Amino acid sequence: MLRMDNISVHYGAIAAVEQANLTLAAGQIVAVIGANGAGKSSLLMSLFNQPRPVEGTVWFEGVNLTRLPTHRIGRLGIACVPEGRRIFPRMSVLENLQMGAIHQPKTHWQQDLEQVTSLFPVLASRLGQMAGTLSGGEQQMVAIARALVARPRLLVLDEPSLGLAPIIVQQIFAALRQVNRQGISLLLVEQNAHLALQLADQAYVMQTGRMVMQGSADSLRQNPHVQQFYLGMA
Amino acid sequence: MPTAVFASIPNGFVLLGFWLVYLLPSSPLFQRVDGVHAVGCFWIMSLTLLYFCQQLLNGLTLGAVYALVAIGYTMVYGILGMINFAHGDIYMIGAFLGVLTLGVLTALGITAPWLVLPVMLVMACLITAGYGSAIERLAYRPLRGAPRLAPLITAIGVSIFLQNAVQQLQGARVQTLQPLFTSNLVLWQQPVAGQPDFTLAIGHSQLLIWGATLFCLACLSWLINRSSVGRAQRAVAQDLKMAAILGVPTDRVIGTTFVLGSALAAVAGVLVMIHYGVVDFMIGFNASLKAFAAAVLGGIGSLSGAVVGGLIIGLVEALWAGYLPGEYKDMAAFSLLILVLLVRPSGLFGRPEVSKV
Repeated sequence: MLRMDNISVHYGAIAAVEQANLTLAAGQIVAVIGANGAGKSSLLMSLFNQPRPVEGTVWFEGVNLTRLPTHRIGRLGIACVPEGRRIFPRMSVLENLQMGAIHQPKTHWQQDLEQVTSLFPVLASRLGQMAGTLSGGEQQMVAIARALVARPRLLVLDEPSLGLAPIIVQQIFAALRQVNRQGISLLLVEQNAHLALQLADQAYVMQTGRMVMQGSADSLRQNPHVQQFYLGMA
Repeated sequence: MPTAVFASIPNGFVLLGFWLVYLLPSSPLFQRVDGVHAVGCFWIMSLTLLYFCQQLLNGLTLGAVYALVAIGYTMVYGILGMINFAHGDIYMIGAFLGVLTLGVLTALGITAPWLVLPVMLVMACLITAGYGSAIERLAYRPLRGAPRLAPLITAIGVSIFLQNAVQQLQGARVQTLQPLFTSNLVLWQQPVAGQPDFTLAIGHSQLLIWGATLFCLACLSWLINRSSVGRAQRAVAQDLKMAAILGVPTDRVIGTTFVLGSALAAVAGVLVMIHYGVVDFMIGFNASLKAFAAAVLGGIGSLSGAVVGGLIIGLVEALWAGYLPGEYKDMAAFSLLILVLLVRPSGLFGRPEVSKV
Protein backbone atom coordinates (compact mmCIF):
# COMPACT_ATOMS: atom_id res chain seq x y z
CA MET A 1 0.00 0.00 0.00
CA LEU A 2 2.73 2.41 1.04
CA ARG A 3 6.35 2.09 0.12
CA MET A 4 9.03 4.64 0.95
CA ASP A 5 12.21 3.97 -1.00
CA ASN A 6 15.51 5.49 -0.04
CA ILE A 7 14.03 8.66 1.42
CA SER A 8 16.32 11.51 2.49
CA VAL A 9 15.01 14.70 4.02
CA HIS A 10 17.22 17.72 4.55
CA TYR A 11 16.59 21.04 6.27
CA GLY A 12 19.16 23.26 4.63
CA ALA A 13 22.49 21.68 5.40
CA ILE A 14 21.07 19.43 8.11
CA ALA A 15 20.15 15.91 7.11
CA ALA A 16 17.15 14.79 9.18
CA VAL A 17 16.48 11.50 7.38
CA GLU A 18 18.98 9.56 5.35
CA GLN A 19 18.02 6.83 2.91
CA ALA A 20 15.19 5.40 4.91
CA ASN A 21 13.00 2.57 3.63
CA LEU A 22 9.58 1.63 4.91
CA THR A 23 6.77 -0.55 3.67
CA LEU A 24 3.23 -0.90 4.91
CA ALA A 25 0.74 -3.47 3.69
CA ALA A 26 -2.98 -2.70 3.58
CA GLY A 27 -4.69 -3.16 6.95
CA GLN A 28 -1.45 -3.14 8.92
CA ILE A 29 -0.36 -1.00 11.83
CA VAL A 30 3.24 0.05 11.41
CA ALA A 31 5.11 1.92 14.12
CA VAL A 32 8.30 3.92 13.85
CA ILE A 33 10.01 4.31 17.19
CA GLY A 34 13.12 6.21 18.10
CA ALA A 35 14.48 8.91 20.35
CA ASN A 36 13.72 12.59 20.14
CA GLY A 37 15.32 14.03 17.00
CA ALA A 38 15.85 10.69 15.29
CA GLY A 39 14.01 11.94 12.19
CA LYS A 40 10.70 10.15 12.71
CA SER A 41 8.52 13.21 12.22
CA SER A 42 10.52 14.38 9.24
CA LEU A 43 10.06 10.98 7.62
CA LEU A 44 6.34 11.14 8.24
CA MET A 45 5.87 14.68 6.98
CA SER A 46 7.87 13.86 3.86
CA LEU A 47 4.83 11.78 2.86
CA PHE A 48 3.08 15.12 2.36
CA ASN A 49 6.15 16.80 0.85
CA GLN A 50 6.49 19.01 3.91
CA PRO A 51 9.33 19.35 3.13
CA ARG A 52 9.80 17.40 -0.09
CA PRO A 53 12.41 14.60 0.24
CA VAL A 54 15.66 15.44 -1.54
CA GLU A 55 15.95 11.89 -2.78
CA GLY A 56 13.90 8.74 -2.91
CA THR A 57 10.32 8.03 -3.86
CA VAL A 58 7.11 7.45 -1.97
CA TRP A 59 4.59 5.11 -3.54
CA PHE A 60 1.04 5.08 -2.28
CA GLU A 61 -1.27 2.63 -4.05
CA GLY A 62 0.84 2.96 -7.15
CA VAL A 63 1.02 6.77 -7.14
CA ASN A 64 4.35 8.54 -6.75
CA LEU A 65 3.68 11.14 -4.08
CA THR A 66 6.97 13.03 -4.28
CA ARG A 67 5.87 14.93 -7.37
CA LEU A 68 2.49 16.02 -6.08
CA PRO A 69 1.64 19.28 -4.31
CA THR A 70 0.70 18.80 -0.65
CA HIS A 71 -3.03 19.43 -1.05
CA ARG A 72 -3.36 16.72 -3.72
CA ILE A 73 -1.85 14.08 -1.43
CA GLY A 74 -4.55 14.70 1.18
CA ARG A 75 -7.14 13.80 -1.44
CA LEU A 76 -5.63 10.43 -2.33
CA GLY A 77 -6.75 8.69 0.86
CA ILE A 78 -4.00 9.56 3.32
CA ALA A 79 -4.98 11.57 6.38
CA CYS A 80 -2.66 12.96 8.99
CA VAL A 81 -2.80 13.57 12.73
CA PRO A 82 0.28 15.75 13.06
CA GLU A 83 2.56 16.34 15.99
CA GLY A 84 1.08 18.94 18.31
CA ARG A 85 -2.39 18.16 16.84
CA ARG A 86 -2.55 21.39 14.84
CA ILE A 87 -6.27 21.75 15.04
CA PHE A 88 -7.61 25.18 14.05
CA PRO A 89 -7.90 26.82 17.49
CA ARG A 90 -10.22 29.67 16.56
CA MET A 91 -12.72 27.51 14.75
CA SER A 92 -15.42 25.42 16.36
CA VAL A 93 -14.98 21.67 16.69
CA LEU A 94 -17.64 21.19 14.02
CA GLU A 95 -15.81 23.51 11.63
CA ASN A 96 -12.57 21.65 12.29
CA LEU A 97 -14.28 18.42 11.32
CA GLN A 98 -15.81 20.05 8.25
CA MET A 99 -12.31 21.10 7.21
CA GLY A 100 -11.26 17.46 7.41
CA ALA A 101 -14.09 16.45 5.08
CA ILE A 102 -13.43 19.30 2.66
CA HIS A 103 -12.95 17.04 -0.34
CA GLN A 104 -15.71 14.60 0.58
CA PRO A 105 -19.20 14.79 -0.93
CA LYS A 106 -21.84 16.14 1.46
CA THR A 107 -23.96 13.01 1.02
CA HIS A 108 -22.23 10.93 3.67
CA TRP A 109 -21.21 13.82 5.94
CA GLN A 110 -23.91 13.16 8.56
CA GLN A 111 -23.03 9.49 8.69
CA ASP A 112 -19.30 10.22 9.10
CA LEU A 113 -19.99 12.78 11.79
CA GLU A 114 -22.06 10.25 13.73
CA GLN A 115 -19.29 7.71 13.36
CA VAL A 116 -16.57 9.91 14.82
CA THR A 117 -18.80 11.16 17.62
CA SER A 118 -19.58 7.57 18.56
CA LEU A 119 -15.85 6.84 18.53
CA PHE A 120 -15.21 9.88 20.77
CA PRO A 121 -18.54 10.54 22.55
CA VAL A 122 -17.14 13.57 24.38
CA LEU A 123 -16.91 15.47 21.10
CA ALA A 124 -20.67 15.28 20.52
CA SER A 125 -21.31 17.82 23.26
CA ARG A 126 -18.40 20.03 22.18
CA LEU A 127 -19.26 20.58 18.53
CA GLY A 128 -20.04 24.28 18.94
CA GLN A 129 -17.06 25.04 21.17
CA MET A 130 -13.92 26.77 19.92
CA ALA A 131 -11.38 24.01 19.42
CA GLY A 132 -8.60 26.00 21.11
CA THR A 133 -10.50 25.95 24.41
CA LEU A 134 -10.59 22.16 24.64
CA SER A 135 -8.29 20.11 26.85
CA GLY A 136 -5.25 18.49 25.27
CA GLY A 137 -6.85 15.07 25.12
CA GLU A 138 -10.02 16.43 23.54
CA GLN A 139 -7.93 18.33 21.02
CA GLN A 140 -6.17 15.11 20.12
CA MET A 141 -9.56 13.49 19.61
CA VAL A 142 -10.60 16.37 17.34
CA ALA A 143 -7.41 15.91 15.34
CA ILE A 144 -8.06 12.18 14.92
CA ALA A 145 -11.74 12.74 14.12
CA ARG A 146 -10.80 15.43 11.61
CA ALA A 147 -8.53 12.94 9.88
CA LEU A 148 -11.15 10.17 9.92
CA VAL A 149 -13.95 12.17 8.29
CA ALA A 150 -11.68 12.41 5.25
CA ARG A 151 -12.38 8.64 4.86
CA PRO A 152 -8.69 7.73 4.60
CA ARG A 153 -7.36 4.29 3.78
CA LEU A 154 -4.12 5.20 5.54
CA LEU A 155 -4.05 7.20 8.75
CA VAL A 156 -0.72 8.70 9.70
CA LEU A 157 -0.18 9.69 13.33
CA ASP A 158 2.70 11.63 14.79
CA GLU A 159 3.15 11.19 18.55
CA PRO A 160 -0.54 10.85 19.45
CA SER A 161 0.37 10.16 23.09
CA LEU A 162 2.53 13.24 23.57
CA GLY A 163 1.66 15.34 26.59
CA LEU A 164 -1.50 13.44 27.49
CA ALA A 165 -2.58 11.82 30.75
CA PRO A 166 -2.15 8.01 30.76
CA ILE A 167 -5.89 7.39 30.97
CA ILE A 168 -6.53 9.55 27.90
CA VAL A 169 -3.70 7.80 26.08
CA GLN A 170 -5.40 4.46 26.82
CA GLN A 171 -8.66 5.79 25.38
CA ILE A 172 -7.00 7.11 22.27
CA PHE A 173 -5.04 3.94 21.59
CA ALA A 174 -8.21 1.89 22.10
CA ALA A 175 -9.92 4.11 19.54
CA LEU A 176 -7.00 3.65 17.14
CA ARG A 177 -7.31 -0.13 17.42
CA GLN A 178 -11.00 0.18 16.64
CA VAL A 179 -10.21 2.37 13.63
CA ASN A 180 -7.78 -0.24 12.37
CA ARG A 181 -10.41 -2.96 12.73
CA GLN A 182 -12.56 -0.99 10.31
CA GLY A 183 -9.86 -1.59 7.71
CA ILE A 184 -7.86 1.62 7.94
CA SER A 185 -4.09 1.13 7.94
CA LEU A 186 -2.11 3.06 10.51
CA LEU A 187 1.36 4.48 10.33
CA LEU A 188 2.37 5.58 13.79
CA VAL A 189 5.38 7.51 14.97
CA GLU A 190 5.99 7.28 18.72
CA GLN A 191 8.63 7.98 21.29
CA ASN A 192 6.66 5.84 23.68
CA ALA A 193 7.94 2.47 22.44
CA HIS A 194 5.88 0.47 24.93
CA LEU A 195 2.62 1.77 23.60
CA ALA A 196 3.69 1.66 19.98
CA LEU A 197 4.94 -1.94 20.08
CA GLN A 198 1.76 -3.06 21.85
CA LEU A 199 -0.40 -1.65 19.10
CA ALA A 200 1.70 -2.30 16.00
CA ASP A 201 2.07 -5.32 13.74
CA GLN A 202 5.35 -4.17 12.21
CA ALA A 203 7.85 -1.73 13.62
CA TYR A 204 10.92 0.20 12.60
CA VAL A 205 13.58 1.73 14.84
CA MET A 206 15.09 5.00 13.75
CA GLN A 207 18.31 6.48 15.01
CA THR A 208 19.94 9.72 13.87
CA GLY A 209 18.10 9.75 10.58
CA ARG A 210 18.61 6.12 9.65
CA MET A 211 16.49 2.99 9.96
CA VAL A 212 18.57 0.75 12.20
CA MET A 213 16.13 -2.11 12.84
CA GLN A 214 12.90 -3.49 11.54
CA GLY A 215 10.71 -6.47 12.12
CA SER A 216 7.47 -7.60 13.66
CA ALA A 217 6.50 -5.72 16.80
CA ASP A 218 6.80 -8.92 18.82
CA SER A 219 10.31 -9.67 17.65
CA LEU A 220 11.42 -6.13 18.42
CA ARG A 221 9.93 -6.36 21.87
CA GLN A 222 12.12 -9.41 22.50
CA ASN A 223 15.22 -7.74 21.06
CA PRO A 224 17.76 -6.98 23.82
CA HIS A 225 18.92 -3.74 22.20
CA VAL A 226 15.36 -2.43 21.95
CA GLN A 227 14.65 -3.58 25.49
CA GLN A 228 17.68 -1.75 26.79
CA PHE A 229 17.41 1.52 24.90
CA TYR A 230 13.72 1.95 24.10
CA LEU A 231 11.78 -0.08 26.62
CA GLY A 232 13.95 0.86 29.58
CA MET A 233 14.63 -2.72 30.69
CA ALA A 234 17.99 -3.57 32.18
CA MET B 1 -11.19 35.72 14.22
CA PRO B 2 -13.98 37.86 12.72
CA THR B 3 -17.07 36.32 14.31
CA ALA B 4 -17.52 38.27 17.48
CA VAL B 5 -17.35 41.92 16.66
CA PHE B 6 -19.20 41.92 13.36
CA ALA B 7 -22.23 40.89 15.31
CA SER B 8 -21.78 43.69 17.80
CA ILE B 9 -21.57 46.54 15.26
CA PRO B 10 -25.35 46.86 14.89
CA ASN B 11 -25.57 47.10 18.68
CA GLY B 12 -23.24 50.06 18.53
CA PHE B 13 -25.52 51.79 16.07
CA VAL B 14 -28.54 51.09 18.24
CA LEU B 15 -26.75 52.61 21.22
CA LEU B 16 -25.77 55.67 19.21
CA GLY B 17 -29.38 56.07 18.10
CA PHE B 18 -30.60 55.78 21.68
CA TRP B 19 -28.13 58.41 22.74
CA LEU B 20 -29.13 60.81 19.96
CA VAL B 21 -32.88 60.41 20.45
CA TYR B 22 -33.35 60.14 24.21
CA LEU B 23 -30.36 61.48 26.06
CA LEU B 24 -29.12 64.34 23.94
CA PRO B 25 -32.30 66.48 24.00
CA SER B 26 -32.01 66.82 27.77
CA SER B 27 -28.41 67.98 27.59
CA PRO B 28 -27.38 71.66 27.78
CA LEU B 29 -26.41 71.56 24.10
CA PHE B 30 -30.09 72.09 23.35
CA GLN B 31 -32.01 75.23 24.05
CA ARG B 32 -35.69 75.08 24.64
CA VAL B 33 -37.56 77.58 22.50
CA ASP B 34 -41.23 76.70 22.43
CA GLY B 35 -43.28 76.88 19.28
CA VAL B 36 -40.73 78.59 17.03
CA HIS B 37 -39.26 75.96 14.82
CA ALA B 38 -40.62 75.06 11.40
CA VAL B 39 -39.92 71.36 11.70
CA GLY B 40 -42.54 71.25 14.40
CA CYS B 41 -40.18 70.12 17.07
CA PHE B 42 -39.88 72.32 20.08
CA TRP B 43 -36.28 71.42 20.70
CA ILE B 44 -33.94 73.59 18.73
CA MET B 45 -30.44 72.30 18.31
CA SER B 46 -27.66 74.63 19.07
CA LEU B 47 -25.38 75.46 16.15
CA THR B 48 -22.48 73.90 17.99
CA LEU B 49 -24.20 70.57 18.03
CA LEU B 50 -25.37 70.82 14.42
CA TYR B 51 -21.84 71.55 13.29
CA PHE B 52 -20.57 68.61 15.32
CA CYS B 53 -23.17 66.31 13.77
CA GLN B 54 -22.18 67.42 10.30
CA GLN B 55 -18.56 66.54 11.06
CA LEU B 56 -19.66 63.18 12.41
CA LEU B 57 -21.51 62.41 9.19
CA ASN B 58 -18.49 63.41 7.13
CA GLY B 59 -16.22 61.34 9.33
CA LEU B 60 -18.42 58.26 9.01
CA THR B 61 -18.29 58.61 5.23
CA LEU B 62 -14.54 58.85 5.17
CA GLY B 63 -14.29 56.04 7.71
CA ALA B 64 -16.46 53.72 5.63
CA VAL B 65 -14.06 54.13 2.73
CA TYR B 66 -11.01 53.51 4.90
CA ALA B 67 -12.72 50.46 6.35
CA LEU B 68 -13.30 48.95 2.90
CA VAL B 69 -9.64 49.43 1.97
CA ALA B 70 -8.35 48.32 5.38
CA ILE B 71 -10.14 44.98 5.05
CA GLY B 72 -7.92 44.15 2.08
CA TYR B 73 -4.81 44.81 4.14
CA THR B 74 -5.97 42.82 7.10
CA MET B 75 -7.17 39.79 5.10
CA VAL B 76 -3.88 39.43 3.26
CA TYR B 77 -1.92 39.92 6.47
CA GLY B 78 -4.08 37.35 8.23
CA ILE B 79 -3.21 34.70 5.67
CA LEU B 80 0.27 35.54 4.44
CA GLY B 81 1.66 37.68 7.25
CA MET B 82 2.67 40.31 4.71
CA ILE B 83 1.62 43.92 4.19
CA ASN B 84 0.44 44.33 0.62
CA PHE B 85 1.50 47.93 0.07
CA ALA B 86 0.17 47.79 -3.49
CA HIS B 87 -3.34 47.59 -2.11
CA GLY B 88 -3.79 51.38 -2.06
CA ASP B 89 -2.96 51.49 -5.75
CA ILE B 90 -5.50 48.78 -6.40
CA TYR B 91 -8.00 51.18 -4.88
CA MET B 92 -6.72 53.95 -7.18
CA ILE B 93 -7.10 51.66 -10.20
CA GLY B 94 -10.65 50.91 -9.07
CA ALA B 95 -11.40 54.63 -9.09
CA PHE B 96 -9.90 55.05 -12.57
CA LEU B 97 -11.85 52.10 -13.91
CA GLY B 98 -14.95 53.79 -12.55
CA VAL B 99 -14.06 56.96 -14.46
CA LEU B 100 -13.41 55.01 -17.64
CA THR B 101 -16.68 53.10 -17.38
CA LEU B 102 -18.51 56.35 -16.74
CA GLY B 103 -16.87 57.86 -19.83
CA VAL B 104 -17.82 54.93 -22.01
CA LEU B 105 -21.40 54.90 -20.74
CA THR B 106 -21.75 58.64 -21.24
CA ALA B 107 -20.41 58.29 -24.77
CA LEU B 108 -23.06 55.63 -25.36
CA GLY B 109 -25.68 58.05 -24.12
CA ILE B 110 -26.45 56.14 -20.92
CA THR B 111 -26.65 58.61 -18.07
CA ALA B 112 -29.36 57.34 -15.71
CA PRO B 113 -27.57 57.03 -12.35
CA TRP B 114 -29.44 53.89 -11.32
CA LEU B 115 -28.00 52.16 -14.38
CA VAL B 116 -24.59 53.84 -14.55
CA LEU B 117 -23.71 53.17 -10.93
CA PRO B 118 -24.09 49.38 -10.84
CA VAL B 119 -22.30 49.04 -14.15
CA MET B 120 -19.42 51.15 -12.84
CA LEU B 121 -19.19 49.16 -9.64
CA VAL B 122 -19.35 45.79 -11.34
CA MET B 123 -16.82 46.69 -14.04
CA ALA B 124 -14.41 48.20 -11.51
CA CYS B 125 -14.76 45.20 -9.18
CA LEU B 126 -14.23 42.61 -11.90
CA ILE B 127 -11.22 44.21 -13.54
CA THR B 128 -9.61 45.26 -10.26
CA ALA B 129 -10.08 41.75 -8.88
CA GLY B 130 -8.20 40.56 -11.96
CA TYR B 131 -5.40 42.98 -11.15
CA GLY B 132 -5.25 41.78 -7.56
CA SER B 133 -5.10 38.15 -8.49
CA ALA B 134 -2.50 38.80 -11.21
CA ILE B 135 -0.30 40.72 -8.77
CA GLU B 136 -0.50 37.86 -6.30
CA ARG B 137 0.35 35.30 -8.93
CA LEU B 138 3.18 37.19 -10.61
CA ALA B 139 4.77 39.11 -7.77
CA TYR B 140 4.01 37.36 -4.48
CA ARG B 141 3.49 33.66 -5.20
CA PRO B 142 7.07 33.10 -6.41
CA LEU B 143 8.24 34.51 -3.08
CA ARG B 144 6.19 32.16 -0.93
CA GLY B 145 8.54 30.79 1.72
CA ALA B 146 11.06 33.57 1.18
CA PRO B 147 12.11 35.74 4.15
CA ARG B 148 9.38 38.20 5.14
CA LEU B 149 11.24 41.23 3.87
CA ALA B 150 11.24 40.05 0.25
CA PRO B 151 7.48 40.22 -0.41
CA LEU B 152 7.30 43.50 1.50
CA ILE B 153 9.85 45.17 -0.76
CA THR B 154 8.15 43.58 -3.75
CA ALA B 155 4.84 45.08 -2.65
CA ILE B 156 6.38 48.54 -2.53
CA GLY B 157 7.80 47.91 -6.00
CA VAL B 158 4.42 46.84 -7.33
CA SER B 159 2.90 49.97 -5.81
CA ILE B 160 5.40 52.24 -7.57
CA PHE B 161 4.90 50.31 -10.79
CA LEU B 162 1.12 50.71 -10.70
CA GLN B 163 1.34 54.43 -9.91
CA ASN B 164 3.67 55.05 -12.81
CA ALA B 165 1.72 52.84 -15.17
CA VAL B 166 -1.48 54.77 -14.47
CA GLN B 167 0.39 58.06 -14.73
CA GLN B 168 1.67 57.05 -18.17
CA LEU B 169 -1.66 55.74 -19.39
CA GLN B 170 -4.04 58.29 -17.88
CA GLY B 171 -1.84 61.36 -17.51
CA ALA B 172 -0.54 63.03 -14.39
CA ARG B 173 -3.25 65.65 -14.19
CA VAL B 174 -6.14 65.45 -11.77
CA GLN B 175 -9.24 64.15 -13.49
CA THR B 176 -12.44 65.82 -12.50
CA LEU B 177 -15.86 64.60 -13.41
CA GLN B 178 -19.43 65.72 -13.18
CA PRO B 179 -20.93 64.57 -9.92
CA LEU B 180 -23.49 61.83 -10.41
CA PHE B 181 -25.45 62.81 -7.34
CA THR B 182 -25.79 66.46 -6.42
CA SER B 183 -28.86 66.36 -4.21
CA ASN B 184 -28.84 66.23 -0.44
CA LEU B 185 -31.06 64.80 2.19
CA VAL B 186 -31.71 67.70 4.57
CA LEU B 187 -31.94 66.45 8.13
CA TRP B 188 -32.30 69.75 9.92
CA GLN B 189 -32.63 73.38 8.97
CA GLN B 190 -31.67 75.89 11.61
CA PRO B 191 -32.43 79.58 11.14
CA VAL B 192 -29.55 81.82 12.15
CA ALA B 193 -30.22 85.49 12.86
CA GLY B 194 -28.96 87.68 10.00
CA GLN B 195 -27.33 84.78 8.12
CA PRO B 196 -28.38 81.97 5.79
CA ASP B 197 -29.86 78.96 7.54
CA PHE B 198 -27.49 76.31 8.82
CA THR B 199 -28.43 72.98 7.28
CA LEU B 200 -27.46 69.58 8.50
CA ALA B 201 -27.49 67.45 5.40
CA ILE B 202 -26.35 64.10 4.07
CA GLY B 203 -25.35 64.00 0.43
CA HIS B 204 -26.98 61.23 -1.56
CA SER B 205 -23.49 60.10 -2.48
CA GLN B 206 -22.74 59.78 1.24
CA LEU B 207 -25.82 57.64 1.73
CA LEU B 208 -24.62 55.56 -1.18
CA ILE B 209 -21.21 55.09 0.46
CA TRP B 210 -22.81 53.95 3.72
CA GLY B 211 -25.27 51.66 1.99
CA ALA B 212 -22.64 50.09 -0.23
CA THR B 213 -20.22 49.67 2.68
CA LEU B 214 -22.84 48.01 4.87
CA PHE B 215 -23.86 45.75 2.00
CA CYS B 216 -20.25 44.75 1.30
CA LEU B 217 -19.53 44.13 4.98
CA ALA B 218 -22.65 42.00 5.35
CA CYS B 219 -21.71 39.92 2.29
CA LEU B 220 -18.12 39.56 3.45
CA SER B 221 -19.15 38.61 6.95
CA TRP B 222 -21.47 35.93 5.59
CA LEU B 223 -18.80 34.68 3.22
CA ILE B 224 -16.07 34.44 5.84
CA ASN B 225 -18.14 33.07 8.70
CA ARG B 226 -20.75 30.91 7.01
CA SER B 227 -19.56 29.70 3.61
CA SER B 228 -17.16 26.87 2.95
CA VAL B 229 -14.86 29.22 1.02
CA GLY B 230 -14.58 31.40 4.11
CA ARG B 231 -14.02 28.40 6.33
CA ALA B 232 -11.13 27.32 4.15
CA GLN B 233 -9.83 30.88 4.25
CA ARG B 234 -9.88 30.98 8.04
CA ALA B 235 -8.23 27.58 8.20
CA VAL B 236 -5.44 28.73 5.89
CA ALA B 237 -5.01 31.87 8.00
CA GLN B 238 -4.68 29.80 11.18
CA ASP B 239 -2.40 27.06 9.85
CA LEU B 240 -1.51 27.13 6.18
CA LYS B 241 0.49 23.90 6.07
CA MET B 242 -2.09 21.91 8.01
CA ALA B 243 -4.83 23.17 5.70
CA ALA B 244 -2.78 21.96 2.74
CA ILE B 245 -2.33 18.54 4.34
CA LEU B 246 -6.11 18.31 4.73
CA GLY B 247 -6.43 18.92 1.00
CA VAL B 248 -7.16 22.64 0.86
CA PRO B 249 -5.72 24.14 -2.34
CA THR B 250 -3.94 26.91 -0.44
CA ASP B 251 -2.75 28.85 -3.48
CA ARG B 252 -6.29 29.12 -4.74
CA VAL B 253 -7.53 30.25 -1.33
CA ILE B 254 -4.83 32.93 -1.20
CA GLY B 255 -5.79 34.03 -4.70
CA THR B 256 -9.42 34.32 -3.59
CA THR B 257 -8.33 36.53 -0.72
CA PHE B 258 -6.62 38.92 -3.10
CA VAL B 259 -9.67 38.90 -5.37
CA LEU B 260 -11.99 39.75 -2.47
CA GLY B 261 -9.75 42.46 -1.05
CA SER B 262 -9.26 44.05 -4.46
CA ALA B 263 -12.97 44.04 -5.23
CA LEU B 264 -13.69 45.82 -1.94
CA ALA B 265 -10.95 48.36 -2.67
CA ALA B 266 -12.51 48.94 -6.11
CA VAL B 267 -15.88 49.62 -4.50
CA ALA B 268 -14.18 52.14 -2.21
CA GLY B 269 -12.36 53.75 -5.13
CA VAL B 270 -15.51 54.15 -7.24
CA LEU B 271 -17.48 55.51 -4.29
CA VAL B 272 -14.82 58.07 -3.41
CA MET B 273 -14.56 59.12 -7.02
CA ILE B 274 -18.34 59.64 -7.14
CA HIS B 275 -18.39 61.53 -3.83
CA TYR B 276 -15.43 63.86 -4.32
CA GLY B 277 -15.45 64.00 -8.11
CA VAL B 278 -11.66 64.08 -8.46
CA VAL B 279 -9.14 61.32 -9.04
CA ASP B 280 -5.44 61.15 -9.88
CA PHE B 281 -2.76 58.48 -9.91
CA MET B 282 -1.50 59.36 -6.44
CA ILE B 283 -4.76 58.95 -4.46
CA GLY B 284 -3.73 55.41 -3.63
CA PHE B 285 -0.73 56.57 -1.63
CA ASN B 286 -2.59 58.56 0.99
CA ALA B 287 -5.48 56.11 1.13
CA SER B 288 -3.11 53.20 1.60
CA LEU B 289 -1.36 54.91 4.51
CA LYS B 290 -4.68 55.72 6.19
CA ALA B 291 -6.20 52.31 5.58
CA PHE B 292 -3.02 50.61 6.74
CA ALA B 293 -3.12 52.75 9.89
CA ALA B 294 -6.77 51.75 10.32
CA ALA B 295 -5.95 48.06 9.98
CA VAL B 296 -3.10 48.32 12.50
CA LEU B 297 -5.20 50.42 14.88
CA GLY B 298 -7.97 47.83 14.83
CA GLY B 299 -5.49 44.99 15.18
CA ILE B 300 -4.09 43.68 11.93
CA GLY B 301 -5.49 40.31 10.97
CA SER B 302 -8.90 41.11 12.48
CA LEU B 303 -11.69 41.96 10.05
CA SER B 304 -13.88 43.72 12.59
CA GLY B 305 -10.78 45.57 13.78
CA ALA B 306 -10.24 46.90 10.26
CA VAL B 307 -13.81 48.21 10.13
CA VAL B 308 -13.68 49.85 13.54
CA GLY B 309 -10.17 51.19 12.90
CA GLY B 310 -11.33 52.69 9.59
CA LEU B 311 -14.27 54.42 11.22
CA ILE B 312 -12.09 55.77 14.04
CA ILE B 313 -9.47 57.16 11.65
CA GLY B 314 -12.20 58.72 9.48
CA LEU B 315 -13.94 60.31 12.47
CA VAL B 316 -10.72 61.65 13.98
CA GLU B 317 -9.72 63.15 10.67
CA ALA B 318 -13.09 64.80 10.04
CA LEU B 319 -13.45 66.13 13.57
CA TRP B 320 -9.93 67.50 13.56
CA ALA B 321 -10.51 69.17 10.21
CA GLY B 322 -13.77 70.61 11.55
CA TYR B 323 -12.34 72.25 14.65
CA LEU B 324 -8.58 72.51 14.33
CA PRO B 325 -6.16 73.48 11.58
CA GLY B 326 -7.05 71.15 8.71
CA GLU B 327 -3.47 70.76 7.47
CA TYR B 328 -2.71 68.72 10.56
CA LYS B 329 -5.53 66.20 10.21
CA ASP B 330 -3.19 63.46 8.98
CA MET B 331 -0.98 64.08 11.95
CA ALA B 332 -3.99 63.62 14.22
CA ALA B 333 -4.86 60.28 12.64
CA PHE B 334 -1.34 58.91 12.89
CA SER B 335 -0.77 60.28 16.40
CA LEU B 336 -3.86 58.42 17.51
CA LEU B 337 -2.42 55.28 15.95
CA ILE B 338 0.80 55.74 17.90
CA LEU B 339 -1.08 56.38 21.15
CA VAL B 340 -3.22 53.28 20.77
CA LEU B 341 -0.22 51.13 19.90
CA LEU B 342 1.61 52.38 22.99
CA VAL B 343 -1.20 51.05 25.17
CA ARG B 344 -2.26 48.06 23.07
CA PRO B 345 0.63 46.98 20.84
CA SER B 346 -1.52 44.47 18.97
CA GLY B 347 -4.27 46.97 18.20
CA LEU B 348 -7.83 47.18 19.47
CA PHE B 349 -9.01 43.72 18.38
CA GLY B 350 -5.68 42.06 17.65
CA ARG B 351 -4.30 39.04 19.39
CA PRO B 352 -0.81 39.34 20.78
CA GLU B 353 1.50 37.40 18.54
CA VAL B 354 2.75 34.26 20.19
CA SER B 355 5.75 32.84 18.42
CA LYS B 356 6.27 29.18 19.08
CA VAL B 357 9.70 27.72 18.98
